[in-house]
Amino acid sequence: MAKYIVNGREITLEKVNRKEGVLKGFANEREIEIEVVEQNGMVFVKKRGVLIPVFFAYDNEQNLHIHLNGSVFMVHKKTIEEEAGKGEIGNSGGRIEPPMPGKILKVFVKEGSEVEENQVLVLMESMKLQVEVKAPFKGVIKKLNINEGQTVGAGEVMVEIEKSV
Amino acid sequence: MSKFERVLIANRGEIAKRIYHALRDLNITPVIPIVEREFEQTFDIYPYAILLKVEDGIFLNGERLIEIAKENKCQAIHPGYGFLAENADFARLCEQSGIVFIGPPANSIELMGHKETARVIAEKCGVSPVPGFSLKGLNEKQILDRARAVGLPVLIKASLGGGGKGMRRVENEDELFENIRIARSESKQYFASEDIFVEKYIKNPRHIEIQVFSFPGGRTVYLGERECTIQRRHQKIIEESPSPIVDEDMRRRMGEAACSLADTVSYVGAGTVEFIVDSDRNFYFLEMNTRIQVEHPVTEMVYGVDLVKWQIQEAMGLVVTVPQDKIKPNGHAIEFRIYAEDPENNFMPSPGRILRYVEPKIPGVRVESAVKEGYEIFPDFDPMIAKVIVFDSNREDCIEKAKRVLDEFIVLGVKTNLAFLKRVIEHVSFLKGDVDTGFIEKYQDFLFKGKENPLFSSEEIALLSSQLKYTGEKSPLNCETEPEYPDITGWLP
Repeated sequence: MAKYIVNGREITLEKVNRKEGVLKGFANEREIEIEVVEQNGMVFVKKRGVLIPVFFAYDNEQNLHIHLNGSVFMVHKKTIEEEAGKGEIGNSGGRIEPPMPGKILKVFVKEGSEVEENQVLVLMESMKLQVEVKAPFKGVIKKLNINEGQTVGAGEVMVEIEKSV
Repeated sequence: MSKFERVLIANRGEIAKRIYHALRDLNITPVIPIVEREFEQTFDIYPYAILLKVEDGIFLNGERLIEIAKENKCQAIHPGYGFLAENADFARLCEQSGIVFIGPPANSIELMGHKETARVIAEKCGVSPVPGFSLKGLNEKQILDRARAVGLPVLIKASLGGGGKGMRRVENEDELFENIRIARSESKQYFASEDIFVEKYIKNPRHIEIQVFSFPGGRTVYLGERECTIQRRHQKIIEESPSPIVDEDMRRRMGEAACSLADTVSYVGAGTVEFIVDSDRNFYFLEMNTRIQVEHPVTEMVYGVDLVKWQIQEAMGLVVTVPQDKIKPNGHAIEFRIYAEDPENNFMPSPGRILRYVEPKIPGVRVESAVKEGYEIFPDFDPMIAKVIVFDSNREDCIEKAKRVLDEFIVLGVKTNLAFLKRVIEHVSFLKGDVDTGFIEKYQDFLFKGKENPLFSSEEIALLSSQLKYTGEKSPLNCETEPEYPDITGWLP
């Protein structure tokens, strides 16, 4: 599973598979498919039989720029760090969202706890994979919205940290 | 005058490339100064030329340019547009240094460069300027009386200004004198002159200009008009020829007015006379631009001429005079200025590196640019990436073709106005030719919406993205043929 931000819109992509040019997957839990053709180093998407060329490039921030049929899309695949909230920290507070929907196995902090950068806050499990959620910076736990054993969805704020000055 | 061997191009970007082509066509060696910062990335854009690595600010340093021209045995300098193109002192300096300035005589530049003087000359030629008056020698009561006669709102303009700089709009009488005071001090600050004048503010006019070319010996011809009404922040973004509202009679009247003006100031070479046109198709003289203009290619397409080549040939004394009755329009051309800018964010420039760049290769389409893949657009340089000129037999077909052209112009890495330009020409009022300078503001709801691609959803783009591999610095076009899909179940390996 991976999360993509397409022109500012978040899309969760799962179960991607490609067979003989047919690319399938679940985007935001809805199954979709497109036809992809690679020829002479060019990539095309086939739509209603028409071959539409795909022009793309990555920038230094790993953003993918795509030109397709007269429109430009900016796509960013979220990294684990960004998923853990690192990508969205303000100056004073960090709202930690789960890197993926899943079950909370263990919570290592309480409200008011002082934490160091990269200290493990939460251990969670999703699709049989355990993931540690770490503090993006040194700070104090302002709010704890989760309990062990519960499940959390994408975008839910699990922990709020106030950055120490 | 004999043939030039070498000509210095005192400019950069697409117009430098345009002049380069005209010189190469005439078998003249272009000598091109390139500032150090962009030397490397520009190096291979000008093959068969003499390239000089120069310091920043060179294009505004007349003495240095002449020095370089002499050092490199150039007989002439082409200034392009902007920078020193309309600087009479530079033209004069060239003359005194024995270097041909490819443009009109210094005196014509000076006369037309002073907007107030230009108005007076226009009036003498029987071309009405926008109603207005000079402030010289008037007391407050007289100024107020004249302003009332002209009718508010009015614009206060700097005589040596241009491009909207030092211009103030006055809606009410009680703001008049305060604005005059500010305009005067701004003019002094920017243009070292306190000369200002008042002009009637014509609401939502059209901008239509006449291309003229003056052959040696005082024979000026006009090459029709260009409609330049679609503007953002006082800058043209779409220009076309012919104008949808100019008929043969109006073209002749505007053209003859422009020629008479050019002849009166002993003009030489390519020039443009700008008019403001009100909703009743009355036209008023606005100003004369004494240089080649950004939008000159639309005229070239419709009239089958090469204006830059003519400029150079004229400067060599080799141009063959073309009689007015041989100059006939054919078909329709529209130019789009492609900028690295963000229309969604008030057209803010969007500098950066162009990661992918593919110009449309379509018959009847001309692209003027001096960029390439990997080219970096610096924040302090002009953010124009390219001009694309679309030609077809009539306006409707031309607009239809242009939509395809804008779709197939690939620029990735920086934000551009390509999709915005397409929205403009998709608007029914544009199609009908029913436009004024307030077009973009008036139809902003239409122009700024519609970011969704009708053919592809964000979901499909995300799915496609999962297949496009990152393979290093350059932008590769490869996709895994036999993708190994680690059963995508998690984040960690």
